[in-house]
Amino acid sequence: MNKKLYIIYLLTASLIFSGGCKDFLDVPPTEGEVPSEEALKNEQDLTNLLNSCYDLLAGGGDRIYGGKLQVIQSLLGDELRGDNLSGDFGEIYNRKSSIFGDYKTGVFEYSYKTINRTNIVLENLDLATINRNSIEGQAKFLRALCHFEMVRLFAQPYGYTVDNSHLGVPLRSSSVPSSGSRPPVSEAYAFVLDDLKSAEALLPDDNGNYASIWAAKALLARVYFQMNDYVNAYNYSNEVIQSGKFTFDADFATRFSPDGTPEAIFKLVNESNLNRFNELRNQFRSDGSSIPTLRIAQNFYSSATSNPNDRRKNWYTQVQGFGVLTKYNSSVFELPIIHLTEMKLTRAESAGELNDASKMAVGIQDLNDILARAYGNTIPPLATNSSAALVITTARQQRILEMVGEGDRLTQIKRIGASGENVITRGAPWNCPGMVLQFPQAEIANSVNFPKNPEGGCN
Amino acid sequence: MKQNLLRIFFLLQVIVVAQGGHHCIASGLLKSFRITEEANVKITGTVVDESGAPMPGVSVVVKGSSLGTSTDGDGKFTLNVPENSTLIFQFIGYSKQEINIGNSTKINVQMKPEEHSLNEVLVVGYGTQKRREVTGAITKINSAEITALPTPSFEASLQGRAPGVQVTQGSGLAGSGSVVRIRGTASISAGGDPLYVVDGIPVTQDPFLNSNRGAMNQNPLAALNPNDIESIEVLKDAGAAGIYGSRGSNGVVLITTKKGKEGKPVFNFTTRLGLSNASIKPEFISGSEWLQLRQEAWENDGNTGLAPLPNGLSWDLASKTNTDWWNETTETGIQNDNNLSFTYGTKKYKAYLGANYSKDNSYLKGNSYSRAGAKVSFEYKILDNLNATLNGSFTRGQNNRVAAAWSGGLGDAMSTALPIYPVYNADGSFFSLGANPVRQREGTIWRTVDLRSVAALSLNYSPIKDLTFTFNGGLDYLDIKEDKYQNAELVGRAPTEQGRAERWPTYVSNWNNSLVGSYNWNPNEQNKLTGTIGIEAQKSTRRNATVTQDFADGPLYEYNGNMEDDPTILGLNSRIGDQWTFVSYFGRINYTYNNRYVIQALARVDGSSKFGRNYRYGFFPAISGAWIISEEDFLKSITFIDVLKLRASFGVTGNSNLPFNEWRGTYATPDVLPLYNDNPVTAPTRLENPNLKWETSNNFDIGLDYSLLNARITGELSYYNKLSKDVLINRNLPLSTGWATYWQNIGKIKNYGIEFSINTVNIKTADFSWSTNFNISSLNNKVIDLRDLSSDAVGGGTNDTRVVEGYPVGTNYLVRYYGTDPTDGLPIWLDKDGNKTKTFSLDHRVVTGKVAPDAFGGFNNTFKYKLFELGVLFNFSFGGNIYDGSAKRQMGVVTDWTMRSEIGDRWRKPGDDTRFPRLTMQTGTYDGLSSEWQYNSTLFLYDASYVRLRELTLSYNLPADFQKRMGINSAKVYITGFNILTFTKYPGGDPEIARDFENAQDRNMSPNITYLTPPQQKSWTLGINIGF
Repeated sequence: MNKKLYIIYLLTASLIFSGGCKDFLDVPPTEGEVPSEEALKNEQDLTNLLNSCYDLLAGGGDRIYGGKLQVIQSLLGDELRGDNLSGDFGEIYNRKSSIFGDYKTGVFEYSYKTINRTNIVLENLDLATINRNSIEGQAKFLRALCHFEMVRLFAQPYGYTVDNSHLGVPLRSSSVPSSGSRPPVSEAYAFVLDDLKSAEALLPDDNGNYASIWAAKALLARVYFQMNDYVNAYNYSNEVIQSGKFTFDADFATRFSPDGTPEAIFKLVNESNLNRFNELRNQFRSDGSSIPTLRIAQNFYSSATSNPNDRRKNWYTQVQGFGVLTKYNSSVFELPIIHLTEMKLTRAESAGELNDASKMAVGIQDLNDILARAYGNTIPPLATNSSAALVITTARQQRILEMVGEGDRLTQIKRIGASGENVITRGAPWNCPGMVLQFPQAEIANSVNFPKNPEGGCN
Repeated sequence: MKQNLLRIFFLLQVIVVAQGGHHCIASGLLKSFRITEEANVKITGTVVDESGAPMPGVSVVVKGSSLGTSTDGDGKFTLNVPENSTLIFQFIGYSKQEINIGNSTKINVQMKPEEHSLNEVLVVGYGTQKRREVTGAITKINSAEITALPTPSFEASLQGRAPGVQVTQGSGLAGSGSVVRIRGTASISAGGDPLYVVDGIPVTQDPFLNSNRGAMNQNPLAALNPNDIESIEVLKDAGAAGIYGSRGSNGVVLITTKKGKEGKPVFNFTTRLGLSNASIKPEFISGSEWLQLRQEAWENDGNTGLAPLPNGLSWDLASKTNTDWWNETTETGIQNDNNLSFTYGTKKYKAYLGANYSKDNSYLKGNSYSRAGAKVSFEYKILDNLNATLNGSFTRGQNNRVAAAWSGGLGDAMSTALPIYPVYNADGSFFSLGANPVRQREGTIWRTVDLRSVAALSLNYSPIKDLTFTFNGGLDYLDIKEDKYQNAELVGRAPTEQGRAERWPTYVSNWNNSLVGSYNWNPNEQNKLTGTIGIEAQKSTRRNATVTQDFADGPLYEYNGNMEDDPTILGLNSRIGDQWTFVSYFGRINYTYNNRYVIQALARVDGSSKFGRNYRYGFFPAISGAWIISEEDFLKSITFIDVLKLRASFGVTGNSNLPFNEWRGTYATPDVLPLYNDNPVTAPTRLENPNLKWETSNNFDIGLDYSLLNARITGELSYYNKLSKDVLINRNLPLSTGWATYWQNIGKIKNYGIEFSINTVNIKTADFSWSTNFNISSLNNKVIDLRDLSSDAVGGGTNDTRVVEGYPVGTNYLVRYYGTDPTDGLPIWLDKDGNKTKTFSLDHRVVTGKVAPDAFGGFNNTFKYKLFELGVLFNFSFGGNIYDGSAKRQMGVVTDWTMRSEIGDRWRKPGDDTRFPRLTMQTGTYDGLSSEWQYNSTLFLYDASYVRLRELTLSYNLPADFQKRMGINSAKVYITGFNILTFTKYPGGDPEIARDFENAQDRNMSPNITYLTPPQQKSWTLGINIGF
């Protein structure tokens, strides 16, 4: 009997102490997590954290370059038709976004999530000994890139007011949470330029698939162009092109292809098993059985496909009578964020605006490269004595054709509008309130006196 | 701590060994009375309990004499008595029965559980108390009430039965769970459900183990067989639930399962078969009506010609089609439930064995929940003072899933599956240009299998008289495997290709050990003291995984490759997703003076890994008392009062039903994140809050229990007031911080109300009786403080409910709809200040309603005539609101959604004064409306009040002589109607709604919000219960 009891008690005792650890209440985090205080211990950890910023841009539930950003830009632009759009898409397309809407909220949230991580990297730079400059430069480059995207989507463009005192977006240079605020757009651009100039000084000449000095310069060209600062836009795009590090692509098949384009100055890569950039395929892909949600506006489609000799016609097809894009039909591709074609178009248009003879020659050559690639010898090249106006018009037109579906068009509408031209898209001026997205509810409601954007007013 | 535990165990062990051969206390229950008086009639008989099982140990005494005996192990007794005697049958927990034997020599007696007497034994958590000693608010529900209805899961059976317990039954999906709230909702982001405890083990009850995949929350409680339950005690106030400390403030549901009984073998068999349908079906329009509305909207918008149809559908095809998608996705459901149980016991051991198989084919085509289970209870008396009990239940529940609500199926039938869409194309293939729930259902194999075992070993040891140690060690193991396979077409591939298989395995193991010592001190008649102290440790670990086989021929449970070669298929790559522990110390002293004054003090210290490093342990004391006024001399003379008991309690309880680890700042490590550019990635995943802790509730309760006119009238009246502080809010942060949410103890909520119940025996004659139970509870809930948070800052999920200071949890926060302008048919709104405006704006949102009712309850009547019994149970709910989130699309801007027939009441020409505005296909027509999704307004807010005939049961007990001929102890046949009549003003379907929820906050704030939620089942069931 006693033996039996013993067994029972041993059994129960072992049950009670099955936890077995020193302090029963000390439960480790989920498998795959470590406490924050143990997470960043050396340069490798910091590099991994920096790498997560690229991962967010490329992956992150497709909320940024995975596709949602470009989709929103396309919806607000003039390339798409809207009669089949409802929900968040309808709201954005009709230029009356409200405080709700998960689609837009995701873009905002994840862009700032990336910014927050760059701030943590910058606050822990002391951990870096070997690649400190590169790490700092990349963090600043990425911080600038995200802030730049945000200020372009959630605020009226640079030039909307003469002194750019109109409201911008939250600028975050610290990882410590605090209330959101809206300093003027001038401050946003100063912040972005400051980061980029710093990155330019820190980044290496070649950085593999990560941001290099050329990525910083190319983004500077883009930012200055957005500011209609043609001198700097010309100089930076010129520097990038002149570097000779990037090759003008002979055809159009490689821009969104598994092995990428030699034109890419800054790109996001894809491991084949991850299927990154899904949202671009989800909304645009046109080789399946159903009609893609995003369809090309009828007039845009007919003019873009009107010239049978334009090789870019291959970027379009028809599904059940609807004109749609084929640009994102590859299951796997690398995504160029800034490519040489854009730099050439920027340089050409800036040259036209500057109307300086030597620069004009360069710009005309840029356009002729682009025309020749598109049309072969079916149309004559621009004459070397073409007028500045022709150069500008051609650059803008080719830009529309080259960069369809890449989200560029919206930013150009606003840039040209801000430069003083009367730009009307789909019946509404470039600066009507709804051309700017409303901030997500969570930003407004959790910040002190956060000014909302005015809504609607475009239709 | 480990040291202390070891010491206690060592001591215990020494005592056990020392007492090894000591046989001292036999069960004092069986007392034989000496036979002294002259007795000339020998009477024999059998005593059975309410289920027909023989009852041993029942005392049988001749009235007015000292003659008596007690029943043996088979419930039989033999006694020599004087002629024409009256026998008194008594057993603890059962009503006393007096029976005049006349001149018969044989008598069979059925004992009835004693429900409202002071001697009724209640389970109170770590022990039992007689009702006399109970100072807290406890409601007991017996097994007959739990199994009366074919509810989708046992907790739904509490509805209408217990005052203060508000049950919102789940949807018509088989196995769906209910939202149970005890004395109001005191939580916002933390779980507001009561703690469910089965035989001493707080069981896994998280409804979000599989999130809301397929628009259904996996309900872990569905795997518990209602037929295994002996009784449920609901602990409501600090005086009762306080013993559960940091987990008591939302109430505790104590489930006691069936155990073996002493006596010869008894079998019980029950079976029932039923047919079910949707309780209420909303009305949808036909294909031609839909086309007409579409055309009207098109023309209203200033267009001419035929309106374009969704997905390029031709008018020709559309006008020839009229598909009733409701019929395509529903059918008459079949419910079947079978139970066989066996109980047998001797003085040395007692055994209970139960087996169960049930299948509920709901009215949704393709949907069913079947449960096969066994229950074992084995009690063995190792020594006279040492008892071991092994309790276990093993269940396999299989849910054959269909998509519902937003995920498809019946939800499609109510939304995007238009009546102008055919099921099949002309060539016989499935129509696929628009939603087609038939195609979706036929192309999907989807099931969830739960394997659940709740098992406990308990040792009960009395080293000396009145001192008892109880050890309870339990394991609650839950293994959920959800498998989904979609064929090639549904995943966008050519029909000849393979489809996609997915699997979501979840494993939860939940260990619980407690050691409780209890001492009774009874120095004399006047003083009675019971002291209890205990320790308890619990650890729950959840592992889960997601497995996707992108190209597969069938679901992964049919996978016939070598599983061992491919461990991911089995989900063996699962990771710990959730792990938490509790360590608790508790004590309770209950002192009764002179059988009429009771005072009880209790306290618990809870430590948990869920609490931040600055608040590891919480302290939860409660004091309560009772005064049995009817024992006082000044009331003794008032004969119509049997019992009058006043009780009151005050105490602190907590709620710690928050996700684990939320206090800890964390990073995800490279091994769990995908590579980028073939390089590792690490990233922050959570902000730290070292001050995160439990919610604290200050509870006050005062109540009066009464029993009048020889228990013809019984009941209780209670008032409660619960102030909850440090209410957990998973608050939003400005997204530009890089963080979306953060758990903080912020809010204050007050709940107060009155509960009243009355049970009356209205008529009682030899052949006919009529009794009534009525209970009603009022509910007042108010958010008192949210600190700096605005209502939008707390957020409300997708359901347009909010928390607003000064208003209840789950406040409808909507733009007010004033009406339609008869001149142009456009909607008129009220802005924040109540001024009319034709511009819709989210800035106009104000508090417009609440999801919680003002009052709810049940009204039950039982009529008995000879062997017939008729039970009629109504339940009711008054004063809440329903927000119909699907109606804004079903009766809003004309899109690719089907519409409800109420849209007939719409503006068509100037002068029309209608409920709904003019039809349009453009959101811009209703000025300010950004999207058809934002059309949230009081236009779709309804009164949620309802009265429902929840149960109508007619039963017939087979005559005793027939039973005897057949050799059975009891037999009953019955027919039950469930949810058969509902009186409501809500036109959109069932007025009682628990939709699929996204998280605990949604569950607290959005019951009575519907979004294509399948209505509950109503059913007719035929059943037989036999005992032999």
